[in-house]
Amino acid sequence: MTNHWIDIKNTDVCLIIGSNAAEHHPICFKWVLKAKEERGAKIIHVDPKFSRTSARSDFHVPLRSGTDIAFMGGMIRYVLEENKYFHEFVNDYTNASFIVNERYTFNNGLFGGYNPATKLYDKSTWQFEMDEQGKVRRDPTLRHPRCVLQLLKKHYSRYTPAKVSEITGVRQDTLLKVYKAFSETGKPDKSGTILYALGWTQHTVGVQNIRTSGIIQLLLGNVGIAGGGINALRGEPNVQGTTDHAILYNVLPGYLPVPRANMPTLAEYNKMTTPVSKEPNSINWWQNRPKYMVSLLKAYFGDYAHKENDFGYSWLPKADIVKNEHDGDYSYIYLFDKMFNGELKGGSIWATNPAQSLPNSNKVRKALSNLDFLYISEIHANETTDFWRGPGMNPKEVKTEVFLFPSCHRAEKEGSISNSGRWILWHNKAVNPMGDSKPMGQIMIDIMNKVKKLYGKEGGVFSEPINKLNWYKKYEPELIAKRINGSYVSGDNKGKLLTGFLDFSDDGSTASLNWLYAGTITDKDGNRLKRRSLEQTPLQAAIRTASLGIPPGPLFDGMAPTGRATFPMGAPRHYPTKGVRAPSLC
Amino acid sequence: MKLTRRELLKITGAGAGAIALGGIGYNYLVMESYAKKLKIKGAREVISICPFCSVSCHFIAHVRNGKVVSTEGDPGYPVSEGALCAKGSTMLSMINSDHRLVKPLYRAPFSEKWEEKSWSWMIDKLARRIKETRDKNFIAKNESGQVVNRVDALFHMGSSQMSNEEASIVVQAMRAMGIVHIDHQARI
Repeated sequence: MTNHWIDIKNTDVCLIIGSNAAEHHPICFKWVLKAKEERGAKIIHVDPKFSRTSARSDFHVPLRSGTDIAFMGGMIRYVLEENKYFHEFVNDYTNASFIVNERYTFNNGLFGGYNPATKLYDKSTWQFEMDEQGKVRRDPTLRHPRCVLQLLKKHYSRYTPAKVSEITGVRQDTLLKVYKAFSETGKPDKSGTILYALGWTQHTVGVQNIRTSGIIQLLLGNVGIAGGGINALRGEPNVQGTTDHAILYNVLPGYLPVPRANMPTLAEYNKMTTPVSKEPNSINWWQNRPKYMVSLLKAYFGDYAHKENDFGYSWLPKADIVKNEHDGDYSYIYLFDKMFNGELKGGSIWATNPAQSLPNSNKVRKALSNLDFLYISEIHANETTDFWRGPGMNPKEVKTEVFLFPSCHRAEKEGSISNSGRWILWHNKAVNPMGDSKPMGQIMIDIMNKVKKLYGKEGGVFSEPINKLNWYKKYEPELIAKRINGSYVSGDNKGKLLTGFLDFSDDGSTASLNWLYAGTITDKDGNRLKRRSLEQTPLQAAIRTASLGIPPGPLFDGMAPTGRATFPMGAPRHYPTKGVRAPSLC
Repeated sequence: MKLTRRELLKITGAGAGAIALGGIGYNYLVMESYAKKLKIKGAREVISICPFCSVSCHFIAHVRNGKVVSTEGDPGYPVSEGALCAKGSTMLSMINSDHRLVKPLYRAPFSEKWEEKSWSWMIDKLARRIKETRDKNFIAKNESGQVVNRVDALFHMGSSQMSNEEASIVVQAMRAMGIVHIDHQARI
């Protein structure tokens, strides 16, 4: 999310679309209700079905599933036609004034540059017009027919209320009610926020759905202000972290583009992926990309990575260029499609359940049965671990060799996770793993150490990246967290931890597994992710005194001193609420 | 000891209700005797984070004799302020569940059952499989003659349940092996 959970309380209008926040992110909903009760915010829920979120909203708008682009398109048109956009913001902070080159076309639903054979666009016809110095041409009056704002207006002029109503099934007066309410936030002193979740992402047009919210929030100037933004309610507790650390086919940790086959050297990679800007006011932060890439390579290969061997760049696999739907796309659905067609031989599935989560579970089971081997790390058996005896499967015909490793629970290991508001949070180890279960980190370390041993002893194909890997013996989260943060590996500061983005360099003197996390652990403050005062706060002391009449201090002789205020029963209530409920008994 | 109804109510649940109502007429002795029955008596408190949604509510695990005996919301986490939803409230049952896998299990090709195996047996066999498959299916150059150094035949799936540290080393290992089919729950 661009803003934060708690910041939702600052909004004037909360548009919940593609989300059932009250049921799927229940704790966040108190902040939505705070906005409603304390600020008089309007809560609008757009969802095909009526749910608990709708019950608490000011009004519920049912629409046909999958018609969000039209719904939001109608809003964009309304905002532009009725002049509700925040003029100064749009002028100064967006590309609305940029002029697009004259080869740009849009006809009959297709933009210019479409190649029907590959089903891909050639985007060169979409570029901005540049002047002789390489700077983008603009029209600050926003009247030029090819400036972004005018093209946007023309594009969305098609989404009239009548048309949108026809597509979405929403009545025109309801559409206008929503558009009017939300576009009020285009005023400088008003903010509106959009909450979305998997109701928007689980479509083939998921990215496009979210794009419409980007357009709207930029037009209304709801970006970078309290109560504004696009608050994506992420699904899992650490999908944000695992996105940052790039368990993804198309990026390396820190959102560095994955190297492709047309980038044989590091220099080529840097040239093709590092944006250049001639604009005097452009920060162009990605110009620092080479520093982050070299630091990542140094973290991956340690002392084996140096300038003469491109820091080990050739040891990284190169993805193919995206030539069509199947080439260069190694993503989830295509992955299972290839597996179904017998193109994949083996692999791993960790703490996820495709046989249940993917739309076609029969296809998933059939696909998995084509593998020679599969290793899974899970906390309990599920449809994927036992796919070989699932519906439609005859185990006697399934050749897949399955290794099922017991994974321990979060409370049985320590480490950090990143919440949807991009806070990095440390969790502590409460107890040892149950039975013979282990943390996933330990499982990975053990497997890789054995693979390294085999390659070390027997040799094999292209063994360098495996032999030279900067690896571990034991899973020690704090040590890895330090490597993620990064440190100086040579020079006067050798051994010191990096303190932030600005410490990176591309000469091999810094190493970091993810530049975004630099500064999380510092020499001065130690592990900042663990920072937590366990002292009793004045508020806790006041509640305790008020409810028990006992001054601060250990409560009962029998209770172990914990150094923090614990409440005899249940969690305390911070605010007096109407309808006080009895605290829960343990 | 014969208890009047009033005394019984005082000792049990209603005693708690009395506290909730702001300590009017509470009886310290009642509280103390009640406290001695609490299952979290003498327990160590450890703060962890719920694994269900990305609000990431913190919870306090009460640990006694190496076992988690209770979980409750952590009031120090600013987003939840100590609350837990229906999923988070069940944390204790998830940690101590009978359904937990506690032994490595192996399913041989064409077998109809799981077999318990040791960690070292599993890792040895698996590493051998990975090496065989990687060596056999390694692609040094693609059809256009470009150097790609990858293994299309191997894949990696998951997980957003991993911590940052786990995710980091898993990606490092997979890339080192030349794997490009990498994805997880972030993409649907």
